[in-house]
Amino acid sequence: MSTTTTPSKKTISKEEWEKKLADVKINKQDLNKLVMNYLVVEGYKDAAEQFSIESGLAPMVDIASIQDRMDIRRAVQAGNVDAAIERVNDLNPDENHNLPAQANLLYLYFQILDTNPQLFFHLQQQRLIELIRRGEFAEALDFASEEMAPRGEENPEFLEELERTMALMAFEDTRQSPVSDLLHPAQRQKTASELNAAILTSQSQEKDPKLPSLLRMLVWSQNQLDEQRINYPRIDNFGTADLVTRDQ
Amino acid sequence: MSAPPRIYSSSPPRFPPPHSLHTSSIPFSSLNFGNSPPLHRLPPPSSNSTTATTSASAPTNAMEPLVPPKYPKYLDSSSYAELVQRQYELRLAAYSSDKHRESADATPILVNSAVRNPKVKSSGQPFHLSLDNADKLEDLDLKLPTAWNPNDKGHCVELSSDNRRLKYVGVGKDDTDAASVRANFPMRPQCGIFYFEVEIVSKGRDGYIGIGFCWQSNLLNRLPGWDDHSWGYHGDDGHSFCSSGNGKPYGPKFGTGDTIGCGVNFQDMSAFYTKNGVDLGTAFQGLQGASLYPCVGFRTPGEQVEVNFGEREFKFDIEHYVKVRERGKEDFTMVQATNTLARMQEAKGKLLADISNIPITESAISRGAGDSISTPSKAAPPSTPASTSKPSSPAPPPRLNSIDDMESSKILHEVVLSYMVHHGFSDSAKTFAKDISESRKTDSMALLKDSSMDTDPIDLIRDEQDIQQRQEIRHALMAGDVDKAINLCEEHYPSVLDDNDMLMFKLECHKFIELMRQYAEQQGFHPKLARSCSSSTKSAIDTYVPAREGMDLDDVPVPQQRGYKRRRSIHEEEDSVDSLSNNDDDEEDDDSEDDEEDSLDGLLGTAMTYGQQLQQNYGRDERPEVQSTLVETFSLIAYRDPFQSPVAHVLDDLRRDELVNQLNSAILVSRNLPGMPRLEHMYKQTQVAIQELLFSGNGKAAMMDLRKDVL
Repeated sequence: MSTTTTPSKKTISKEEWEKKLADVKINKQDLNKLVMNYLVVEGYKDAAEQFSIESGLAPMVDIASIQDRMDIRRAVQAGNVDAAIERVNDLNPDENHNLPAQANLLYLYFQILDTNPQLFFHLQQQRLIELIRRGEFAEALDFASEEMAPRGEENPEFLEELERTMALMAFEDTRQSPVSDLLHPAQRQKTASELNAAILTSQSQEKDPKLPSLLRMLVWSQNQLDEQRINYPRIDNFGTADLVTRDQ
Repeated sequence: MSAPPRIYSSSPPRFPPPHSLHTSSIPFSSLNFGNSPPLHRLPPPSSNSTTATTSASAPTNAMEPLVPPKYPKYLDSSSYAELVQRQYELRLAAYSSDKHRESADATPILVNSAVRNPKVKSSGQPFHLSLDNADKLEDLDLKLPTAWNPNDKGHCVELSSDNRRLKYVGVGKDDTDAASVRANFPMRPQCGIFYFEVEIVSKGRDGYIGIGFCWQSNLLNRLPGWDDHSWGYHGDDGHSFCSSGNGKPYGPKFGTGDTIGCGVNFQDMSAFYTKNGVDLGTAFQGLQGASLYPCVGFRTPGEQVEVNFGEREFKFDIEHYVKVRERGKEDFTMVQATNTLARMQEAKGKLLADISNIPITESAISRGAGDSISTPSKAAPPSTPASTSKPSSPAPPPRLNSIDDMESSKILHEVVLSYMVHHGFSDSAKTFAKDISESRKTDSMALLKDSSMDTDPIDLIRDEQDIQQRQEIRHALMAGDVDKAINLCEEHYPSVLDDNDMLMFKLECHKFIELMRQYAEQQGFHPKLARSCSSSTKSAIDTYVPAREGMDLDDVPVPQQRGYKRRRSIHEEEDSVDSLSNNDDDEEDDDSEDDEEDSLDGLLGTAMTYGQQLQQNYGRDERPEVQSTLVETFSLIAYRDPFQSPVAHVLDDLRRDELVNQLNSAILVSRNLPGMPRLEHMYKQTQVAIQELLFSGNGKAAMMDLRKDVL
């Protein structure tokens, strides 16, 4: 739908707009929840804890599980995939029966193994990348052929990606190579985010916080109004969120 | 300070203790609180209000008839239904406030409050209904097609008396003899999907019947679909015509006895048809226009159709899938329903996906950036830039570039932090600032970015002392200690309460409420954990305690014997034991009874003395808000168990929270800071923007439910 039907340009005065704003009912508790959701999903454990106390709002998950999730995420971000995986892998549920959060992670590990082969492959790939980064080529070769190749056979995409990763070893200066992106920190971030999302999903949490959606909706709705050539007091920056009316 | 000082008088209370009123049979509504408005004007207006009854009845003058909105059932849960219902309520309110004003002129008793009520409109005019540029919801035209428009038809078409049946009576030699008819109103985009059906009563000579929709500006000596801004499905060849003289093969032919349905999906601007209840799939995409009129065209003699705009049951079960959309997938069998539902979900999913690609950056929100953002984002960038191989995974999350990522998380951090600072959540703010400054260091190391460019988030907590002070005030109020809150406020922010006498007044009233709460709790009453609004009516009646004339404060200054109960001072506590146990259900355990009763009456005495003072200070304040607050506050006295009374909401924690927010805002405003956290403002702005989009017929906005989508 578009320009052809746009009626003559409409202007909404600041006064009128503010009256409309005042009519919007929003419960403080709902906003608290929005903030809490952000803190939990993004893993700000301490802040979530304090916020829960000060706002009187119960966090939607076990605070301790936030810590576990963040530990694992940070480990991957720091290139320590082995630690992240092995920590989970080495857990013996019999010895740690009083550590539900860790048992949870063990469960998660197998769940990922079973249900999310893509994430599992990406974790393994990240391990391989880290081995190559450290120059442990022999280990890398072993790992690739023993742990990864069998899975690659199941899925051609995995195989392709595996070959691409192995290509890292072929270049003297990997920074100049076509596969340099694999060594970039962004690759770790990507894997860490994927893992983080999987953990959140397994805890029946949405994997994305809602606050960014609100900000995006704000941008979107204002742009739509602009497109309909409606003149209204808009928020022109996130920093202050002041209302600005276009002079025209 | 303009508000009267708080005085703790030790003189005997002029308020009778509530339990002395238990046995009185005088209706609560006959009480008179000095200058306060009569109590029957409180919600709920349980009885007798004459204004209430008149406002509910339909207007009798030449106004637009004020009847509840009617629309086809399948729209029950649409934005349209919500909008049209709100419009009705607004019109009703406008109408009754006009009425109210009239009656106020006639009855001097109500003059004060009515004339002062700023909401009363000065005009007694009927609603101005204009098709375009409606600024207010009240004025927005939301009427749906209900019949063909006898004044908007081509030549040679006859209409039945109810304007629903059409018959072509022309010669029908060639295409120039075509004739179309438009419906009386356009399909409203706010519906999300609008659907109507046309039954072919007779296909006439050749059955050149076209069913579709067009703009109001289209000529009516043409068949739907032949011209720009016109779309149609034709019976003679089963082709769909999309603004063109050449049709495309689309569906089966149709003729006598067939029922053709036409649905316009304003969410993705597409249209589909049904034949005899079977979905034929999407016919058109990329429809244009906010005012599309249903339209039927004829071309050969004897052609005759009858329309159903939803007043009768449709052949196609459109209602079912709308219900299904509400309830989820339960009892979901209809194939065509699945299709339509899928279409809607797909459209919304696509929209949300587009929105999720909008970067959260200052350049995105600043003006002028609109064009680059509103164009739907190109395909998500592949996760690997390499040319030698394809992207590694089928569904990698689209990665924004890391600079945008950094800016976006910085913005989000600040929104969250400013929210905490605003509400005086000082520990949260400090912890969060520490957390983000750490994660920022990690991030910038990880992304090889210099962190020195960014300000330390700790700096965002500009005035820690201020946050702490506001937090203390919040704690005090939430704990029910109004005096402490007021004292703290006067100590740290001396001008705030002086400048806001209404706020001061509310705090003072709230102190009375807190006193009454303590008293009620000592009596063994407690807030109901789950108080349901509907069931509270019954319990309210059970615990309802009629008060008696002793409440008349103004003309009975001296305590005196009144029947078997009399007013008591704090020093006459002992007497109360008897009267209390007489009236109580003996819930308290016997051992502690005496002690409890002592402190109990002490509390009550304090409350009564304080209430009396409040009445003295504000009783003659004629501001309607003051008077109504006083009435509401004092009505607590009338109930034995205030937690189950009709005014229980004043004891709710939400009420405390509301006061905290008001006081907090006032303090911030006095310090030249925004009275509302950025986050809240952004939410409201988005909500209003979506609402405006809805008014202006933006079909995408009709899909949005901000509350559901982000809260």
